[in-house]
Amino acid sequence: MGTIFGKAASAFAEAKAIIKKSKNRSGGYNTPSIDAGQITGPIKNHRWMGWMNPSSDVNDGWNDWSRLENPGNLPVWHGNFHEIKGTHPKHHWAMVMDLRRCVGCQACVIACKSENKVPLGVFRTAVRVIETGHMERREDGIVITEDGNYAPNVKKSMLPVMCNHCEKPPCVESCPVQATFKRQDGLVLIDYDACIGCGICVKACPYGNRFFNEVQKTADKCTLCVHRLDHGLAPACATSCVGRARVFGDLLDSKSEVSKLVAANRTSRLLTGAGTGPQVYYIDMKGDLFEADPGKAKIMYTYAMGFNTSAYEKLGGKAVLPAVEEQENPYKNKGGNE
Amino acid sequence: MANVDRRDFLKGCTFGAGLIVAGGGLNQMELPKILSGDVKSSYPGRVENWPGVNVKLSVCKQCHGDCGLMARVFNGTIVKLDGNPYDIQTTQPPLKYESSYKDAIVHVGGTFNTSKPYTDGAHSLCPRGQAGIQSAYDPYRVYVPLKRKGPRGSGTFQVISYEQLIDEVVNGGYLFKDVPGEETRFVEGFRQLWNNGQNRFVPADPDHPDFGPKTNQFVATWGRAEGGQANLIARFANALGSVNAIPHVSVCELSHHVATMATYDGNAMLKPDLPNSEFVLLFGANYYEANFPMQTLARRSAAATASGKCRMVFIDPRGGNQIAHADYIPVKPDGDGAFAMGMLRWIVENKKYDENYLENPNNDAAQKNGEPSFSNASHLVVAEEPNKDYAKFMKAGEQAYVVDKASGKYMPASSSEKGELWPTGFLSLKPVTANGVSCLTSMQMLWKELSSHSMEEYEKEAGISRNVLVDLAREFTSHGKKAVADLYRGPVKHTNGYYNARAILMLNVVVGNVDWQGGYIAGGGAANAMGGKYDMTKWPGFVAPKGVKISREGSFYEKTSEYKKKSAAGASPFPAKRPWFPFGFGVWQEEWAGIYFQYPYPAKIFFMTMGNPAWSNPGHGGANDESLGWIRMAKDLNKVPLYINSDIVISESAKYADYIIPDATYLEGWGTLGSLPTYATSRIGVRQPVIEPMTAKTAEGKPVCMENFLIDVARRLGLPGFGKNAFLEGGGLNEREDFFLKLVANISYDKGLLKNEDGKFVKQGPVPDAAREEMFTVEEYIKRYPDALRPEEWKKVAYVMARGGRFEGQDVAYMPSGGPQWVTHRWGAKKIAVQMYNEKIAGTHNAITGERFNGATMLEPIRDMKGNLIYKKYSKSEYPLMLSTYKLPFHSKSRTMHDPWLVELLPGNFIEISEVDAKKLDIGDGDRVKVSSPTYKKGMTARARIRLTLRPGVITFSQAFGRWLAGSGAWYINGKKYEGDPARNSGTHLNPLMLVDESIAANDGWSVSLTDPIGGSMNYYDTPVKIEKV
Repeated sequence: MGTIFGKAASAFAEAKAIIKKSKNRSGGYNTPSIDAGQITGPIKNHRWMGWMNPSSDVNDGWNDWSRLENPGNLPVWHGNFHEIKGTHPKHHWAMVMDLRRCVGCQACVIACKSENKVPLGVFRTAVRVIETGHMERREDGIVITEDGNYAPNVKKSMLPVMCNHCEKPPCVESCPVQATFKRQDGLVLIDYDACIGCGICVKACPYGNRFFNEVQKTADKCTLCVHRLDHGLAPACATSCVGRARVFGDLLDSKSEVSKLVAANRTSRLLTGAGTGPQVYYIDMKGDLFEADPGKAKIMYTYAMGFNTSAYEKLGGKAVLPAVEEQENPYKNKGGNE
Repeated sequence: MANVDRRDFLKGCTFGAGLIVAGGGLNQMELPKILSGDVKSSYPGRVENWPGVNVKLSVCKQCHGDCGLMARVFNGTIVKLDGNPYDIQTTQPPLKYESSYKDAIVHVGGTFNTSKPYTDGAHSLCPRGQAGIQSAYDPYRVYVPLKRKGPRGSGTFQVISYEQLIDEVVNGGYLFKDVPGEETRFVEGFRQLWNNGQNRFVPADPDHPDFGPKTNQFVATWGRAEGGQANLIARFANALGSVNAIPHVSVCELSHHVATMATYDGNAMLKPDLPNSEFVLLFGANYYEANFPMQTLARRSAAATASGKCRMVFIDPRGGNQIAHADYIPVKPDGDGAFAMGMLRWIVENKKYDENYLENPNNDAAQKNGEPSFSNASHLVVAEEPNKDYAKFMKAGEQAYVVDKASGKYMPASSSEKGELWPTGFLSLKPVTANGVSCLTSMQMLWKELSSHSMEEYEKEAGISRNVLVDLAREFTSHGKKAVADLYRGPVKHTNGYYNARAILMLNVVVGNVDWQGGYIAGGGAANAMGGKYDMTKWPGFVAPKGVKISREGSFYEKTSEYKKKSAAGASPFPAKRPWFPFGFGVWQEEWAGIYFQYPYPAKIFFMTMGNPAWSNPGHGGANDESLGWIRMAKDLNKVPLYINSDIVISESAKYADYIIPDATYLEGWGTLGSLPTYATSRIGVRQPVIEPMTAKTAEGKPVCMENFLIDVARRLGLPGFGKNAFLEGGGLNEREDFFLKLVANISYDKGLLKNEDGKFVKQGPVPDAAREEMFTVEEYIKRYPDALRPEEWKKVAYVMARGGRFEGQDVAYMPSGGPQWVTHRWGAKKIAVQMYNEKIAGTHNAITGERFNGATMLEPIRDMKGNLIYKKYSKSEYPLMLSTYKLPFHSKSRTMHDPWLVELLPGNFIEISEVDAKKLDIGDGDRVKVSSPTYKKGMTARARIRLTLRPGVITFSQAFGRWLAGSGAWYINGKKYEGDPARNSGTHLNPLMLVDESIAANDGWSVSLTDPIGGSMNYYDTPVKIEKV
């Protein structure tokens, strides 16, 4: 990993120096404290939500996005993506979703939220847990009830979704200010300092995997945990995948686990007809299942549809989302419960 | 989605998958109000190897799975929780225990370096576990002691100092004289109850001294206090002279434990050895949603089915997530027992049981025959009434007897090589006369029950075609020892839960799969935290507490003076005032009933920590409704004169407390968490504070928390085992670390763990000394508590703390190759019989009806404690549907609604109804419906959702929702109104609908949930309901 991360290493050294000087850093025993006389309420400086956590905001190299996102100064493209292959990239990062092992638990969803401090109400990744089929009324059905017999022709399936880090990303091509780009190693990223928050790329993604980040007022999406990757660590979703369904690695390395899985199994990708060249490979995606009438495929969670949509409101009523506590008054009334 | 319309997607997708993406995609397209307001960056968390990031290995507590965790702390704030890479529960294969802590914090496996064989770098925590950060930083936490200001249930509190708290609860007095109605109420404190230690020797009830002394009137209970914590609470109760330190198990899955212990004595839970199993039946156990722990079982289960070597069959009224990779049999609620008995009937009738195994009458014979255990299948049971030994084993001393297969002679089981299962012929129920007494073998006792019902009856009761039972029985008996039937809450939360569980366990008994690779395994045990270097079970001035628990658990009614007196007077000893539960532990509902009925004695001081029966309990809790039993009990000043609650927030149950002790969260606390049978090796996790408790400090500078509160009350009273000279080895117990550090020392010096030395398994001895860079884990403790340990112990303690516990290597899980295909740590090493027939159960009575229990298993209808048939009592035509419930993979019960990341995954739950019933009743997705039950006629209303994978005739809902306090609702402190987050009170919680037992209600109608008379479980799944559109 060493060579391409030279700049990250220098940010590292800088951080070390700053931390050495810093007086407020605690040692082995971490000591948050309540204010004098504080009875209840949030503790200042100790928030779990990254964007409100001042301790994550120190000037030690983290808040320099351009350096964070491309420490090795890898070449980037805003179009003509076919050229990338010719530049002999060292890596081509990709994700394999082995659906034989996805247990639908949502650990990756929370890992992503936690690692990347994604605001409430939007997701960089989600896992659909889907029901299909019917209890069919049949004489020879195995389910015996007082009202007759049924055949349980039903199934559950899991479908983890995330940014596909496409070979030909329409989102990148659509950006009017070239804030979003594709890195030589395959990552599709956004320069948040350059992003004007116009929302065109959000609409351009055929997978619905981009969203508007209300906190930073920019477009946002999965980065494949570029900040981890550049320090030699796997993406948080893969690290915390309970079933080990998410396998991350380098498709240019034939000995990598992803290369082996893609070579040994029949894989599917989402919306290949859109010509985007998605780089998330699914093993064991059952075609028959997904050909079911979508009206009859019941998605249990990650929330079946946007909670601010009328479809959700019809199903669940007006969703009351967890309160984002504002600094001074976490107890202000946040509106009615259904 | 605007540029391409939906039809275009459909053309393009590989497998039509676009339908799902388009129909239910992320839909996150609420578009921006461009560049308004102040802009912040939402930076990712600092990575593990970032300078200044402090990585601590501890243990989760978001469920009872207790997975090892790895916390990243930056600038004193927890930024991320992952799994501990040393722990088999989170990492597979786990990092070698001797690997350096430095390797652990950047564990990536073989993702980047492919020059070596691939190893998996994932070290996972489930969603609940990862979101635990948000519980620590819950903005609705309470940091200071609170005292009730208004009447119980008013939700009004005032802040008091810790010192005032200790003074008041110790000294008692007119503590609530300012509360209307309590002006003259004298509250007894700990001092009065303790009475300088004298009350340990004064009976609470002079007529029944065997019920124990007055000090038993202190009742301590917990919803979740684990290894170490529970031991400290029990130490306090016991030192005070009370036997009442009671966990919550009956709300969980007690009957499963009781049935398992009745079959495999000494073990409360076994699990399939999933990496080697070929065929697994899961009865009401969904490894993909919740279990011990979800993540390890789900991972191993998915790996097993993905490999193509293992078939799983999921038997449950609701299609759990498991059916993504398992066959689904939608059994009738409560049909599990009939299902298993139907299978067993076919297995016995067709002689498909493992005869070679079952005929082994003793351990030596079994070993000779290549079996790691033996059963009592051939042992003789006295079958003639009214012989005084009726239903017990024919015995001389401790020696059981068999009919020897070779000689046909009656002889001690220990002398026989093979015991006859059918002394009077295959499938004959004719008794054999042994020693002049009519006897049946255990096998015959079982067959007597199995053969008393036809396959048609089993089909009807299971609600599943008998062809399925036969097919599964055939397959179950064609995988040798690599077939397992496992179970969890589904079959056992019924009034016949014990028998259902026994029937399922019997499937394992007849193939003799215990201890085999791929079979049913008991786990690898754990290093002993309670002894070794420090004896934590005794102390100077130790007096063993005496008497029966207020829940009557762990005691036989037949042995009480009450039973004997009634019998001596010529009266029937039955009914007792309340049922007794000699086999149960943590029988919560009868703890409440004991308090309410003041039987066997009245309670005086009630202490509860991290417990929330007001919200969680079925039938007698579950809603903000003061007609519910638990809330009525908690409000009653006579029955609960002093109620102390400890929690991190003002919970639904804490609302009724007199005092609230602000507690530390699990990320600020300690514990020692033993292993699970999910894997075959020894394991113990050490929970240590990842951050210091945020609660207020006492005048001595200690953080306020549950443990320090008990320690300080004990010091004030002068209880033995606390304060100065608290340990047999010397030293004081003045703060929680004085206790917990000793547990870690015991763990680090444990000598029992094994290691693999060139294929030979030898004992490890104590852990090595920690490397210098690992000493930071104890530096602060050495400074603060220099006398907590002996000087030489710190380095070993640091070694364990740096790794978050003590874990045996996976290379000793199975016997070395060439040897038998067994696990290394075996249940059979106890050399006791697997109980096909259990004489202790058979010798015990329902204390209400006087009915004897069955030593084998039986098909038992749903009944109340007096024996009335429930479905006769409550008409099915009026209440045609059955109520069920389940857990989501991202919630446990009463603690995870603290965590917004989990709430946003599903902002509210639903009343879930099958497609078939929804059509019949014209109910659509999102319709508002009312559900009511015979004992909660007012019903509850919520939105409906149609489920495709639900058995017709069943409605269900997921747990965790519907919180009216605990950071939701409103409460008052020092006259100020606080309002919580309404997002925590979304959805529905139908627990109040669950049936209460009206047959043994108090005269005023007070009662608790229906109960399994043997297993003690609260009933969750026997409630008939009706549903109406509103």
